[in-house]
Parts: sequence; structure tokens; C-alpha cells
Amino acid sequence: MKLNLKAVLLGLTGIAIVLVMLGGLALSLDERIRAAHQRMDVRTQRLASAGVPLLLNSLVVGDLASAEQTIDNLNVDRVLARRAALRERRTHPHPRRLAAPPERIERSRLGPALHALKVRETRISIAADPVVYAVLAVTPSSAPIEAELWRRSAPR
Amino acid sequence: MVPLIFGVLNQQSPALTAERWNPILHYLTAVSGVPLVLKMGPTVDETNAMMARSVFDLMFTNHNFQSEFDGIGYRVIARWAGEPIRTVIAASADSPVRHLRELEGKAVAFPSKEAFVGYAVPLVALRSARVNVSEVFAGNQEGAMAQLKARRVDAAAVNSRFLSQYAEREGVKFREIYVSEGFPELAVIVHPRVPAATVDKLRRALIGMADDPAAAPVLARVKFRGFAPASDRDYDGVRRVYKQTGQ
Repeated sequence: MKLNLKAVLLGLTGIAIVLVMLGGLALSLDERIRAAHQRMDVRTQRLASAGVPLLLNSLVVGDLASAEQTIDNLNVDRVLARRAALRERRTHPHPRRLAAPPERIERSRLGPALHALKVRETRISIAADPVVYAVLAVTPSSAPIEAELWRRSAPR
Repeated sequence: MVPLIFGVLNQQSPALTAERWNPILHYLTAVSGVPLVLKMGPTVDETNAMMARSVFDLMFTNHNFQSEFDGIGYRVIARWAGEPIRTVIAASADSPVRHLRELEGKAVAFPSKEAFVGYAVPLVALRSARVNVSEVFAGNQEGAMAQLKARRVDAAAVNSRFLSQYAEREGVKFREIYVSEGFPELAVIVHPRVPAATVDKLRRALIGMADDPAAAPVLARVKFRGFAPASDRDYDGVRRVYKQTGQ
């Protein structure tokens, strides 16, 4: 009887330790994913913003081939999952209201349930007020972030 | 109603040109009821080629005063308001070059071979002073000043208005080595296919812009005083200089 109580206590303590460790790991991963999302958003914004003046130059003179080339050059590191799309090529005094950007879930090799990375489309207006030449819609790739998380999580 | 195509000479990058001209064209469209849309080529040569092909219904330029465009029949309906424009050949503030003759053999940036104050006028001045320079064509005035700022050339020839705007924007000081006589600001010209009634509406909207309180925010934003009345005869001096250079 004594032995059984000891075993139960030991077992419960072990389970508690495992639960605390798992909880800590989950919290840490959640924090990392959140930080990774922020980095991904900043990187996408920075990339897209860098290309806006060049794209505006091309679109004002109607040179769509150069605009396409600029977008390709921006994505040499494959930071964007879906090639940036110029959603509108109409000039109008006020930009039309666009539908809310879709959210996309990429399956992660870190485990589908906990680590699914949601990537949101970013839209940047390419305009010389009051004319909107195009709206650049870019969807970042979660691959670089996954690689980074994988590197940090993998045993050394 | 199909919008009329308003061409603008490449004095700055297309993006900066659109930032300056879209608010103006938006205002003119609202006041005159004649829809206008900005169009230009990626380079001065291409914009001029478009003018030669009669792509533009209206245009802001002075390159039409070259004899090669005489046959098209563009007419002046207004000009950019303000003091006459002059060619300035500028060097860096710390440059040892102080006089035109000291530019002998040196690299000088020009916007393009087609430019009036940026090339034709300084060319006549340099020829008169018997100074030979190494010509560098930068595409537009912005490019010419960028070459000077980066010290890839010893001097740059641009128009006086542009130089003061550039110096203010970039926070850089330049020394003026040569300043030409004054010429009227660039003209707004209209193609002969545009109906007289439309031309009249546009002319009134252009000239009235300077005194219209509704235009004040646009004028302040693009830093200009509006348009002034002008006719083809005001540009005889421009034609004379182009002829002297064989253009």
C-alpha cells in the first residue's frame, strides 16, 4: 500500500513536470511564431515599399514589362509566396474599396496543428494623388520564417 | 467622354512628374469639364517621338519649337507663370571652376540633346566662348543634377527654376558659372485636332487657376503660381536659339 502511494505520488509529480515543460514549450513556440509574424510583415512591407517608386515610374509611362521586371527583382529571395499582383490598372480619382485581404494557411513541417502559419496579403497603393495606378497585392511566404523556427527548435 | 491626352516633357522622373501634374490635371478637368489624362514617354526622346506622332492633344513643353515639329501645327494657349527661365551652368559649391572658359575639356552634364535651356542655350553660350566640353547626357534635369551631386561631372546645365527647387529639396548648394538671358517658361500647346470650343474652356481654366481659391491647395502643393496667357510669338527667341544649334 505504502509502495503504491509512493508510485502514485511519483507518477503525478512526473506528469506535472511534463505538463509544465510542455506548457512552457508551447508558450515559447507561440511567442516565437508571433515574433516571426511581425518580422514577416515588416519584411514584406519594406520590400514592397522599396519597389513602389520604381513601379510608379513604370506605370506612369505605361511600361508594364518594366513593372513586371521590378516585381521579379523584388522577389529574388523568394520572400513572397505568391508573385505580387497588380490588382488594378485603372486610373480614377478615388481608389475603389477593395475586399478584405484573404488569409492563407501554409502547412508547416513543424507540425500542422500548433505551427500552422497564417500569412496575410498586404496591399500597397501605387499612386500619384489623386490617380491610383495600381494596387500591389503581395502575399509573403512563410518558408523563410519556418526555416528560421526550425533552425532554432532543432537540437544542436 | 474620351479624355484628352496631356503630355508633359520629361524634366523629372515620371513618378515626380505624375505627383506634380496629376493634381493640376484633376483640377483642370473639374473646372473645364474636359477630362484630361497624363501621358509621357520614359525618356525625352520617346516623349518627343510621341509628340511627332501627334499622340498628345495637349502638351507642356518647348521642344515643339524645333523646326522638325513645325508641320504638326501645335499652338500655344498658355505658359507656366513666373519669371523667365534661364539656363544655369552650375558646379559644386567647392569646385575650382568659376568661369565658363575653365570648363574647357571638362565633363558637363546636360538633360538631353533635345533640351532647350538644358542644351540648346548652353551650347550656343559654350560655342560663343569657344569652349569645348565633354558632353554627358543624363536623360533629364534630375539626372543631370544627380551626376553633379555625385561628382561624376564638373558641371551641369539645367533651368534656373529647376536648379533652385533641386537645391532646396536636396539641401545642396551649387555655384552658378553661367546664367543666360531669360526665355518664357514652358508652354501649354494644343494639337490642331482639338475643337476650338474645348481649347477655349481649357485656356480659361488654365489662366483662371492662379486666381481661383479652389486651386490654392493644388498650387501650394506643387509649388507654382498657375498659368499665364501666352502666344506663339512669345517663343520666337526659343525658335531662334534652336535654329542657331541646327535644330
